[in-house]
Amino acid sequence: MGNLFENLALGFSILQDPIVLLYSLAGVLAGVIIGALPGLGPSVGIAVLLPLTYGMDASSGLILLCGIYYGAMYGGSITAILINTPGDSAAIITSLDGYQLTQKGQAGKALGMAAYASVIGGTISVVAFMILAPVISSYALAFGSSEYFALMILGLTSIAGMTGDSPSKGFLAVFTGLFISLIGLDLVTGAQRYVFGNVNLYSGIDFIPVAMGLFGIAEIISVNSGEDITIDKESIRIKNLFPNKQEWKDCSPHIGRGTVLGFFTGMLPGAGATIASFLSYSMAKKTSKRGDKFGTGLLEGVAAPESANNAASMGAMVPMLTLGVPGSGATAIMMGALMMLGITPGPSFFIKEAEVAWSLVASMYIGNIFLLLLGILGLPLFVRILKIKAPTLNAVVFAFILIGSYALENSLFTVGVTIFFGAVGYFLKKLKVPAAPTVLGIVLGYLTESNLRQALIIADGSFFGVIAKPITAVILIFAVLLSFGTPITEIIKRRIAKKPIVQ
Amino acid sequence: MIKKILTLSLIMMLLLVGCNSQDTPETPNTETPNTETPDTETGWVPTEDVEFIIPFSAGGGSDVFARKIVEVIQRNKLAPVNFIPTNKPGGSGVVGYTYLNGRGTDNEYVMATTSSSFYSQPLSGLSPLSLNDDFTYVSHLVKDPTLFAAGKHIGLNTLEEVIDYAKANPRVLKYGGTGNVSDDAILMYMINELTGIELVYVPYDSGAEVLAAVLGGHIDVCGISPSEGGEHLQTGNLVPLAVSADERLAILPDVPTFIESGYEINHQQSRGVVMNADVPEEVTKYYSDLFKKVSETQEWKTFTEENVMAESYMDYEEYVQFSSELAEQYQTFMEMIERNQ
Repeated sequence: MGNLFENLALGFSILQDPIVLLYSLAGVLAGVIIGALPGLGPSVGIAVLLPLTYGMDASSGLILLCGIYYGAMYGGSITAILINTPGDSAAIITSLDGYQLTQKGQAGKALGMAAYASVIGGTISVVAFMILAPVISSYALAFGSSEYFALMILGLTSIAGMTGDSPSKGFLAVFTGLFISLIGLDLVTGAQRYVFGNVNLYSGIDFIPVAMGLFGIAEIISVNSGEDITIDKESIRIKNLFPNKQEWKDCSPHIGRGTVLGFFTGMLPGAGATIASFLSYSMAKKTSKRGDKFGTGLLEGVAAPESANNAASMGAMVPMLTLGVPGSGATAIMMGALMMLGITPGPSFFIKEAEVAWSLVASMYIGNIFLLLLGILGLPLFVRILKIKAPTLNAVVFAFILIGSYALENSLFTVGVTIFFGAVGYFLKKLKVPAAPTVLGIVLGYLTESNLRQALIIADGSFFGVIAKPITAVILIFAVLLSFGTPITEIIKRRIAKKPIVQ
Repeated sequence: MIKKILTLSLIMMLLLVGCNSQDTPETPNTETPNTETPDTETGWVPTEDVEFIIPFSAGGGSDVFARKIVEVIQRNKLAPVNFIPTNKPGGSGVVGYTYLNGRGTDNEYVMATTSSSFYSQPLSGLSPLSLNDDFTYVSHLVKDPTLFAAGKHIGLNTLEEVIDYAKANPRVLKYGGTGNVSDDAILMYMINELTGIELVYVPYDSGAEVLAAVLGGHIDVCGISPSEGGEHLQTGNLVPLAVSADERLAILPDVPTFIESGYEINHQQSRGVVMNADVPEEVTKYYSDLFKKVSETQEWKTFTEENVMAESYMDYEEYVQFSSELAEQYQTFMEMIERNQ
């Protein structure tokens, strides 16, 4: 333990250089802005700003890129909360309650809570990262295809938390998503599925343009320009941004759980921040006393996913740095950057590159403080977005969505996909079919299928062989309990209640 | 109002900075062609910027390869014009090559990188383009060797041990690789065919996933890029068995090639540059010479070493010949993959 503090001291000593601090601040600031722009998420941000690190030393470059990474995780929530257009995929779920809060005039509070939750989730995760990284990284490898399959099934149960008033509409939405995830070339056989010879569909439909259409464009065209959202000036005063005692009491258990869940989910290669935020939201809904009110504008609904996605961004660094196995798109690009800077991540990273490693850890503490400062001090500025007249704002946001979707693949096809799903989203909105399950269906559908099929090949085609593994079985049982727990306990309760009568 | 403008301009600035820093070369000296450049034989010299198409997304192998070429050209002022890398991902390269093919007018100023899907997509009927009729082969630059490795958990340390074990236990060992019709898959079917064993192919989305699966003991052996194996090869968590390459790798001097081990197995991803059909020969020759200069720089040598690529420059005439042989190899093994599915 003493060693740990020594190492941390080494890390902080590098941060005494004001230039390095400036890089951290610049990274976080750039991250927040990039995160807030629809379509531009952490991976795009890191990829685009990567060339800036070419001339830097390894520590500074890594610190800058990490700043972008967790800055973007928070930034995505700003537009999700204010205009119901998630800036990145990890903020999709934040918009459910966040935007409702804005409509109630509590945008300041929602953004404040998002910042606190992000920073708390991030900071606790740094501590966990520091202490646990060497130990747990080896456990992440215990997750193979069958375990991931189970995890994705668990993820799919979280749909129950998003269906809104009508479960059947929720299922309609999720099956639409699952169907879309089938489009493309079959991973195992290469067979064409719903492709109709269109080369653009070979690699399937990415969920980002779909999400931008369903959330962003649909919101813009269905907005009733007559009702402007009014912001209570009082609500964005700094002191009112601190949640009150009751709100802390409501939110802190969810932040705690979201952090733990996010950190571990983020650590699993391939799972990532988006799934962490979905899982955290649904867990919060299950565990909260007022779970049925989720989706109507509860601060817990913002706190749970926001703590989880920032924790996940830290978690994803663990396998990348200690095993050389990136856990997300953003960390994959970061790993490429590290290798360009002459550092190969791997089991001995913390020993061989102690200086870089520990200055990175130290920068994460500082970066989170910057994030909090930016989040709170920048808030009055962010909220001003709402003061812009709806037609002006909508035109600007629309332009950013279209540019963002073009930038994804330098292709007009993705722009078409975005517009198409914007139209679909409009009708879904009118029919009160929730959009979030569709996006979840696309994200999880592909992962569920590919992992199941890999697991089946490994288990020589036996489905029992896939599920008869300890971790897989535990997760699947957990998923079943989450889905059917309530009806089962109801039945048992009724049985118990009936017994005396029978006697 | 001022704040609003400030915020917006800040955003715009950031975006512009981001876009620029990626593409802007250091000195666009369109005016004065480099003194070394003019060739006594041909004399054709480009006068417009060249669009360099990368048919894959940013950050991948093709992207790194192409951007390095561009960097070397700009930094050493090897050409009088700018090379502008453009990512056109989709359909495993088909979108990019279709874009190249559809340009029509300024064929002298647009080219694309090749990798294995350049061959596999047309051969499996997934691309409307023909390898013989739709491209001009400019230069071949590098080959990517593939490493055949085993997880520590199976306790087999050499190629012979793996083959003996697999002969005694057919279809027990699971082999992980990236993609379904890919170099990793072709390597496995070559091993199966030429050693008479039966490994089972498990397709993953990326090399990182393959690595995680083999380190975690979920699969037994794998085909992986040597640079991806990284430190795990030194620590013994990943046991290198043999490399599919022309000669041993500098980073793994103790690991034999398949050919040294007595098996005629050598399949590598080939990376080069192609242009549209009907480009005049003097143009092809100009670019072919240009890429030769690129391949001779120290920067390029360092880059290929770091990324464990085997340098293999071929000019436009050699490349056409090599390419048609490679296409045949793909054809043979893709048929085998199809039969096995």
